[in-house]
Amino acid sequence: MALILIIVWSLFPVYWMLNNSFKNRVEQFSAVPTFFPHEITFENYKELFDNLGFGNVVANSFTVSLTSTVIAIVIGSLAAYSLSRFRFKGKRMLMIWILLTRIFPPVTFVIPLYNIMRNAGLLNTRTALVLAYIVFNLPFAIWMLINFFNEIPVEVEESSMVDGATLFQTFSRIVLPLVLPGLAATAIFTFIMSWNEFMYAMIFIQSPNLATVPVALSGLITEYLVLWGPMSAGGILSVIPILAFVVLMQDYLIKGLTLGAVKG
Amino acid sequence: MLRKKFSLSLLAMVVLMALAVTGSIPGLAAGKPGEVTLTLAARAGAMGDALTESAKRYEEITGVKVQVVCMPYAELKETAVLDVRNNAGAYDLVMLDDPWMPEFSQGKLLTNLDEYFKDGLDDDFIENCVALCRDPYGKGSLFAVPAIGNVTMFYYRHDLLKKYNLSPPKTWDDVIKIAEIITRDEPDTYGYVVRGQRGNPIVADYLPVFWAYGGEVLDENMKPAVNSEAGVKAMETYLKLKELSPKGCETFDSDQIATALTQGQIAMTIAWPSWVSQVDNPQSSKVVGKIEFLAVPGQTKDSAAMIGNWLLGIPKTSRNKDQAVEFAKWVISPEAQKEMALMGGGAPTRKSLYNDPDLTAKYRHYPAQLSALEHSVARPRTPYWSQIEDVWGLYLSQILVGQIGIREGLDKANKEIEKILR
Amino acid sequence: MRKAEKLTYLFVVPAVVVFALLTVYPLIYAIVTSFYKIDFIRAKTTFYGIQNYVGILTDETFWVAVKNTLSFVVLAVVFETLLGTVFALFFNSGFRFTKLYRTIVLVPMLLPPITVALTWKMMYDYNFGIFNFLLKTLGLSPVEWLSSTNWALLSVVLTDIWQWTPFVFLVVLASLQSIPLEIYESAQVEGASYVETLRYITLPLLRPALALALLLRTIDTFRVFDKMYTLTGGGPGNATETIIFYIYRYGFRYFQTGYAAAASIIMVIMVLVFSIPYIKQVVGAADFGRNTN
Repeated sequence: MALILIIVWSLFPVYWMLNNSFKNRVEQFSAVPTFFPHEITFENYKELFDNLGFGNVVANSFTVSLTSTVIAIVIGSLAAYSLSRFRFKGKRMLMIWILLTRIFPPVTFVIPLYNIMRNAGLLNTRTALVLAYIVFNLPFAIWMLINFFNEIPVEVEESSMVDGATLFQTFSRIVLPLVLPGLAATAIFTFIMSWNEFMYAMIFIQSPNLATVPVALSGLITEYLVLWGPMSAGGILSVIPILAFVVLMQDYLIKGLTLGAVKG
Repeated sequence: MLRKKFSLSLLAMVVLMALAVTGSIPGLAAGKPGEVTLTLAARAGAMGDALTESAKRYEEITGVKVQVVCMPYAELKETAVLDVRNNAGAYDLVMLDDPWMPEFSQGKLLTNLDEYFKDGLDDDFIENCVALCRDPYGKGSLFAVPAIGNVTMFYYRHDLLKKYNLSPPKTWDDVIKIAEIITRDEPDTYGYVVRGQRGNPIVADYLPVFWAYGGEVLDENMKPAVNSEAGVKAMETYLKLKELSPKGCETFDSDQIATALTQGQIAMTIAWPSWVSQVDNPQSSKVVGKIEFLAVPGQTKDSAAMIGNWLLGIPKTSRNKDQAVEFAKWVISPEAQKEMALMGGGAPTRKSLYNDPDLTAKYRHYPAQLSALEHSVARPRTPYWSQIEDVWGLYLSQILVGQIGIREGLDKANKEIEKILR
Repeated sequence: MRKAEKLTYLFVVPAVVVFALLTVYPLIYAIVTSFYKIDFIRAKTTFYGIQNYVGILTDETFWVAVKNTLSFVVLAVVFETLLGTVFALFFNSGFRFTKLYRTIVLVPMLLPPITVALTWKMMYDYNFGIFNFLLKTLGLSPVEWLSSTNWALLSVVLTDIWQWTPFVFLVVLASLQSIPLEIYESAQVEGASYVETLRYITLPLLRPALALALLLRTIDTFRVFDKMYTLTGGGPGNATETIIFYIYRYGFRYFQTGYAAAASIIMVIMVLVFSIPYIKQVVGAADFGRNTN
């Protein structure tokens, strides 16, 4: 019962989006809403591929999101490990600084970041987006991962160090596998946040052939009308690649459990 | 075992990434050396699509490639300002909503076009459209060219008016009378609908009423007067109109107006004519052929339709000004304007096209639109308009939902506008 | 806690380099410009002292925005945390097809925010929306979800709860997954009931994860913008005007970037004050938590 409630809560709006993605405009707004389209139309999906080049757009989003996620996770896990385990000068300062960059509203950073990107000659490149996304993903990843590293008993590493392993070996062979659930969760989040980011993607990129999913979708809010059909279809299509990524990552969430049980 | 799988998938990711990144590099350096590609920032939607098509034709004819980048309203302005102010020079042409003009030209964001158009624009252009492109209004230098000649019009259901034996309204009092009858007698139909969303929508919707009562946003000394007697009377009328509108209109924008109209839920409203093809399209409308068009009603003053053109300007930082001017000339040429209008990409700014048989056959409202354009009023020409509109729109919306009384709200709005202009 | 070895510095170096390159300048830029009156379009900059701050703090609309933001943050964060934790506990108890169901719960968070906001806008529509249709079918009176000043903010909150509950769910679930099974087993041996185990074992162990989820959600709900922008445009009246909306208006509609920067800094200070308890918890754990040496 509870399960059914949870599923309805989570999926009803998605179902509604799916439903609308197969309707024409008259039916989307009929006085008695239809739970299944009377006349199924594929026009909305066709529109996405014909006029927006949605395949290319998805590929762009994928490149940018994956790159920034991988970089944020690699750099972030190294930093988080050291912040979780060691004492050094300026550590508190560093942590607060990291958090601050996350708290600032993205609007505030647009002008200075735009400046940086222009001076680096990076405007209108995917690199600009990757960098901008690292700015907000890295603080997030570090704070998330510190928490997960904290949960691992220090004894585990100590015994490894006693066996003569170096710090890096201990980190990569003993500690990382233990925080795999945390890494997976963090990667999922950073990926989603990059995938769905809109403002920077709009402002830093000019070429339509470099556009990302949210930018392409924003083109469906036209001067007088919102093109609800293609918009819904775009939402549905945009979820599929992320869903694949999430399903892939989920295995680590679970395997972490068995592993944690053995080692902990 | 797990560790192996983990490092394997990590490796796979890195490879994917490397592929993706290297794959992207050739895409960056488009075009052969010496070849110019113009980049145009446009408003997403029908006119952006039409411009894209027009740009393709232009490339066929001249060999110059024009890349049209479509974006939503707010982002278009942000992008244009950031581009020029940071000297990025990414855009060679920008579409501008006409109220932005004073802000853009006085901010020195645009290229002065006088030297490119030594004799000005030709006589075929509607005077009111050209006036918008000059700063100061109507007299100064040319900073843009008029690309799309929008003006608000009054839409009404002639079938319903006929059914109740009513003649089309001439004043806002007439509108209220008609709306009362239809709301009362016609099942599931409201007499009117206001576009009540806070900010730009409610201001654009209220302004024609305000003007009809003789209101002036800024008086001759550039002092705000939104709390004048005319303002109060107009607001009283506006609140009556709201009572005759479907519920929920306090957050309606154009899309909801279009829905209400095309679903046959309302009898009258003010709207932009560009989506007129939508009301006659059975895929999106239930009221095909039942809508007629009028000039916006007057009251103590004559009808005052609000002009809302889209202009094409050339950022000061463009590195290809000469080619950009050539493309701008193409966009406002009779052939290109006609083609764009036929594609549903917006109204022309040339008189001759409003009498063009191909166009009038497709758009039955064109004669009415030409006369609306010729009698249209422009929004106040001040570089602070964006801010005034936003603040005024906030108080109008507060009055509309009853958070504040009419007089108190308008007084506060007036005070805030004074502060902005100081 | 061990003292730093040389290698430790190597571990933080990449992060520090990234932050130095990409955040120092923007942060300083924001702080410095907040003391200037800037008309970005006309490129006019004049030193203004603390006048921006005075202007903001004496602006009635700003305080309305503060009130709305706080209501929004508190409601959204509390419900997201509660629901997310309940979902996670429920799924952690383990049953068939968990993987499928778990994926389903995550879906709201995966959708593009524009589509989410627009789909909800459609569902909230007074005349054609599904919610009012269902209410009418049940014989209840329809609700002005977005156009009434009483409901608008709550409707935006509900959308945010729907979209971001999965976040808390995932953080808590990941944390639950790393609680060693033996702890539960020994509790069972001692005959503890489910509620007792939850209260005395699971929840205390979840504390760091909950603090983290609360912190990150608080930060992010303060910054929610797209939902107000799309669903209500900050209206009706000032019912959904939030601080971030206020910053956006000044920064990007009027291009008074100094004023907007000052407003951002006020907001950052508010977020910091608001989240000190969680920050202490998280930083504290990193500082003293597993201090065995």
